[in-house]
Amino acid sequence: MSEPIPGRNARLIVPPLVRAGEEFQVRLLIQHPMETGFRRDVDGNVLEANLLESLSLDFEGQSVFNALTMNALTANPFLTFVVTIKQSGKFNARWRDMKGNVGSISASVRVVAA
Amino acid sequence: MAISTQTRPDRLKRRRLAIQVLAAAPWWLPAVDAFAQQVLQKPLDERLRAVKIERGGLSLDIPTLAETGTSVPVVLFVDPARLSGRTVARLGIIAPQNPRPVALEIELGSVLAQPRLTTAIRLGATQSVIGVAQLSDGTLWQHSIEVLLTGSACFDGT
Repeated sequence: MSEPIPGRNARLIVPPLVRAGEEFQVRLLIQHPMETGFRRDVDGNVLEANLLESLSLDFEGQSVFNALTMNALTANPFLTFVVTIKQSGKFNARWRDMKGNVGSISASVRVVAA
Repeated sequence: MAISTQTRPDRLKRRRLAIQVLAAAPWWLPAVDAFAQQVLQKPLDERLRAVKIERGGLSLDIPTLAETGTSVPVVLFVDPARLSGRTVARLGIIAPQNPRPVALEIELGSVLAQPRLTTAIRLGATQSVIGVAQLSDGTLWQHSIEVLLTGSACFDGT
């Protein structure tokens, strides 16, 4: 089995349908080892650091958040936010790690009249 | 010149670090005085002191006893009733005793309904974890909680 590319797998969880102006949760999970560079393997070699550097989420071009993620965030970072939107659209998350791997994921939400 | 070769590089290194920190003074630094003292080896610069720091509007929710440092759940939220027209521009989580102390710096956008963030962080030692919020008018809110740790995230026992 080949090694999975860090940060390639992610989930962006949103409700499929919301009322206009309703508050709902957006949950973002990225599968990434967030290797600190402080650990060693069984042979005593230092495991090369590879952390997510930046992570952002936007909704139709408007920023939800823009984060500098660093060492002290856990492996497989998980973030939860509460948002409201007025129109249907797509949430888009993007991230980049220290090795230059980039990833993105999007999820659509449909707004129905309140 | 008769400068001790043993102390000089150390002092230079420390001073260089202090200059770097001051030059690119992170927005949350005035709210994190103990950490600043540790990095700068002296109390905060007057320039940074000028920032108004209030307490009470921000809450950091984190377990006071953490079984393992590899994943400690954190909730950071601002009481909207105390904002009085201002918005929250940024949130930060600082763990001063970690090898790299900044856990997260986050700029909040307009789509957010509540200034509230849930995530999980790593801790390297028992320490006071500090949550910082910067409001749109520059005010800093700070809340710190002492977290007792039974297992560090920085060693994996191998």
